[in-house]
Amino acid sequence: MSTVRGRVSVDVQFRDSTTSASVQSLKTIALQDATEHEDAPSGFPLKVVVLSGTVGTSEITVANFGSTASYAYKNAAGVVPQFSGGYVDGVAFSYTGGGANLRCIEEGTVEKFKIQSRLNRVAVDQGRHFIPELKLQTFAVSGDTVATGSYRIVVWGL
Amino acid sequence: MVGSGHITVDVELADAADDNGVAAQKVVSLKRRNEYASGKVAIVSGTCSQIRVSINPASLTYTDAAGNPVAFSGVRRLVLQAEPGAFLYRSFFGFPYGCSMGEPCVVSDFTPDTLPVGGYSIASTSVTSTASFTLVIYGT
Repeated sequence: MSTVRGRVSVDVQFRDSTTSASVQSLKTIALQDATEHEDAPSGFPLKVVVLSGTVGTSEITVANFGSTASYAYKNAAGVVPQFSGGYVDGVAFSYTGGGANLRCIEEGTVEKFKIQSRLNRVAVDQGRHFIPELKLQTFAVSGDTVATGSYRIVVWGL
Repeated sequence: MVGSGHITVDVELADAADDNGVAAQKVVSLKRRNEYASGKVAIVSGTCSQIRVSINPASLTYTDAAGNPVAFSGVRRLVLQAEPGAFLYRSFFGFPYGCSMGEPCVVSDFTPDTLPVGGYSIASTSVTSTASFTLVIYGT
């Protein structure tokens, strides 16, 4: 039995300034959120899984959360975590190359999100998705020719 | 124009177990901070039902510090925060790009130098309730 606790935070801040006739104007855009994650009040324990590897232009299924056989990550107790509540509540995704997209599929066909990462920028989706599959492939972006790269995906849920 | 800015995503989850007095811990983390020294930024707020609200980055009412409307020719990153929940779509008829149910989603655009036909759109995740949303757009 393992216990998972943690935090996911997003911090966005931009400063937009201009000076005209000795008058400086400044606008600051900010969006910040930090959410603590723990077991659900309903009793389902929080789970986390890390998926990593390399991917190319052919789409691969990196995990199917209806089956623990689809991923190899083991928790602190040495067991492959099972999302017994059925819900994935967040996915953070990073890819080293020029571009890769990660698709979240429910019920075999319903696409719930398609997020992209390139050059190690982390994309994160924090919707609730029921027993999804995650599929990954590289994507050509603006002349980048890198067709294979490394990915890291962190998934949390119940 | 952006003078300075950053987008940071920080995920850290600790997984602990105790087996007959032997404690084990794994810490899972994924963190990235991207700094920006140029470009354009805008923020769009509103409400939506399950009928999509269209957002065209080439024609926004948001004005920059100089009082001029911000018009994008390309979008690099988008951050959506919605309550109770909303999907972000690429174009009016496109696939869901990300989902926020209280906590933000952060995505990059697939074609950072050109805008999607029809821009972006946002719709509530619920058929019965409207959602309030804030969308930060960073690009050129």
